Amino acid sequence: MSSSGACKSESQRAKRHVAEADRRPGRGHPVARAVLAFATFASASICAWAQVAPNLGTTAAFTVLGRNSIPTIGTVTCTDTGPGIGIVGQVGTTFNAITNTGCAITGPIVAPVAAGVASDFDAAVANIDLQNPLCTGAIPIVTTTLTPGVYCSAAATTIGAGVTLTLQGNATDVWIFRVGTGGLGALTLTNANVVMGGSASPCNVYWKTTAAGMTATDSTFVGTVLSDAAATMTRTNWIGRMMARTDATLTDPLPITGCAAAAAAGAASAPTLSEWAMVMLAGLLAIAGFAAMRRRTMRP
Amino acid sequence: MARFFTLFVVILLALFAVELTPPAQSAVVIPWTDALALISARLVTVFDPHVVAFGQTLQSTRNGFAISIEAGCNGIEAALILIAAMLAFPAPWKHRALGILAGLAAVQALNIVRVVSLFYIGQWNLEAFEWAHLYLWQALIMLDALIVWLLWIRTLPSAAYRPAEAEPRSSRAP
Repeated sequence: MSSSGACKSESQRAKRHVAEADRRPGRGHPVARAVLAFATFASASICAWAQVAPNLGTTAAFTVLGRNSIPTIGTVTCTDTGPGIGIVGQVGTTFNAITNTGCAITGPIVAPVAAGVASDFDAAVANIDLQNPLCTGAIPIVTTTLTPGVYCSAAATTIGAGVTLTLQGNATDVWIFRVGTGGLGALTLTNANVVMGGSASPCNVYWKTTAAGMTATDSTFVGTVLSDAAATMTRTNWIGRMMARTDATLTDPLPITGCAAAAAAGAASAPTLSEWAMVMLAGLLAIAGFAAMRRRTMRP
Repeated sequence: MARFFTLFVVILLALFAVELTPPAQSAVVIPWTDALALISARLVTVFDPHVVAFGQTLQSTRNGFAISIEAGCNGIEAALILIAAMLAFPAPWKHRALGILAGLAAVQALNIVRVVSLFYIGQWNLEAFEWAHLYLWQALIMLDALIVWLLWIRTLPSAAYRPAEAEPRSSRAP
């Protein structure tokens, strides 16, 4: 999937160059026009490979995934001290059990996960950087609205108290956040909000940390986290997926709701009228129409 | 009367055919379906902050229950049937236009109520959700369209179609 937002801005920029060149003397010069045509083509080419969602493979079904290469107790830990709501979706761990203290988990627990799940996680973590080498901009740490794109930070990123990032777009738009492009980068949110705007989907948002973990505390968060180390959330409302190369630790999740839960099993379709109901409605309207016409034509 | 029936069927088939074309889907059906989820979420969040809408999905952050507003769930088909009937029935164009506007408003307003109610019924009890969605709300939407249709016919001037019926070769518009 790719977003159209960046493409529009690039091609609009190219069109502006063409329009400006057209206003200049000698606008019909074939070399100038060829250069501009190439610029337009190059812009379009860049757009074609902007923000590609990683293929999650078999990991896509999981809401929470702990992938310790040496499976140990605590690979996935969920603790509810009272205010938590739980995990809505499937939980997976490479260990043979999760540590659950009072968390309501609405979904199956897969322990241990198949080997393919771990390798799909590794592939997704590796590919997200390769598929999205160009950065649209830096990951903001102040309140702002972000169009679809690839946002990067060279080192760790902390989104602090009161900051709200609004990801504004439509249902097919994609956001990629790469933390630690310089080699090491953790993601930390404290009392922060990352929310969707328009009809954009939290299941098209991806965060990747590099050789470090992810921590969200007292926050509202969206997206799939591919943490290159641990992932920890405390009292956070999260729609997406929490995936960690080592341990996934949840305390009082408010809740965390997985994409598979929203898109498939949990999402009930509600048609307005079935086929037979549409036929019946058309018949009723026709009968009522006939009756009205007949009554009026018989009226003196 | 045969003319009304024939026109009704032809217009209905034409409207459904147009609705299925990619341009109509991308320009009207999909944006309206997205908007319906968004409108429903905005209404619900007035009294319940634990609701989010993304794409065509309306989801509770409290328990994860979600409903997906797919093609066919947006009330467009019911509105098209009503529009086809109004276009086929002999009536002045002004009455037709007003009737279509009123019909669209009535069907879509009730559909929003339907979506919101199903969202909460589903969180309460899935069996009740199935029953409400398969039987109760289909009947109510049909009743809504039928009431609009009957009220619209009552508001027509009594001579609106009689000359056309009495003189089939009249140049009056259908």
